[in-house]
Amino acid sequence: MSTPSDDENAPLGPVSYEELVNLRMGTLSAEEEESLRMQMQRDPERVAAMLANLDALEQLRPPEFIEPTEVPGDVAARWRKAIEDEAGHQAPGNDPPGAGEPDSSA
Amino acid sequence: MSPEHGLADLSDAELFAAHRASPGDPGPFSEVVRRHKLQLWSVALQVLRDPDDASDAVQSALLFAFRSAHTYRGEASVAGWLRTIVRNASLKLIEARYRSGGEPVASPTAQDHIEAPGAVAEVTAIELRSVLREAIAQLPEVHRRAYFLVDHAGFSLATAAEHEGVPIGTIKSRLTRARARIAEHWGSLAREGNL
Repeated sequence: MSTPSDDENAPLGPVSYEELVNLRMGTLSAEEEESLRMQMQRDPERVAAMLANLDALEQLRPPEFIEPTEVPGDVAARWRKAIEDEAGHQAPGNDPPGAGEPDSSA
Repeated sequence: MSPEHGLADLSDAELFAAHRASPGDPGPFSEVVRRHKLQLWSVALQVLRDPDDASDAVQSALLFAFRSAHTYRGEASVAGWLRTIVRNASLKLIEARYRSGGEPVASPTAQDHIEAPGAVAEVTAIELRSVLREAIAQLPEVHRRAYFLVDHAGFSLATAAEHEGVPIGTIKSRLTRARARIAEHWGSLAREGNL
């Protein structure tokens, strides 16, 4: 982002969503923030609409996660059965089914 | 899952070694799962927010881990290795649902209506999710993953960065771009009168 200009009439580009997201995330420097706020003042209606869109998206975020305290018994039993079945496939004399599901690479 | 006789004294790494030596015996691997199942369940629930989906994801991950135990190098803890596999399985489940156009797992909120002044006066949550799904599908994979981890699953930036193996700044940047792209998509539909 360019440094703020002293000339209020200097051409400034339109505010982008990326800049507004950065503003909300607090990742802009003081200089960048000042410049962005000047840009925002040039087209307040458009910026208000953009901020409203971001608000709507933010409302889609999930509520705070509550840690479970136990695994339901039927769920644990299902996993145990799946492991036992898989072990049965891998026992000598049986062909193991192919892997190819989730990977451990991050 | 009760402790297998004689296995409870072994370390996770020793159990994995025993499993690799005798994959037809479910005991050693089951003991590892018994120890860490709550953590794995928690990871899947956090990403997916739905018990049925979380159960499927963990099961899929456990079977993958069972078959792939030989690829475990001991660089991370067994529990950490399993958590990563479960997280990936959960993310893949979400992404698959988004790509297939089905209802995304774990509806982010239970709100029926979302008030949004400005370009979008009021839209139903269903419309919003539909737009969201469309926009997410168009994101580059790394941006999509950052979005899922932070905005969908609610992971901290630090946890998301650790999971992706990148600095926090990179996750922030990916998240910024993802949010901006989604909002742009949303805004363009609103301007065209499609919302």
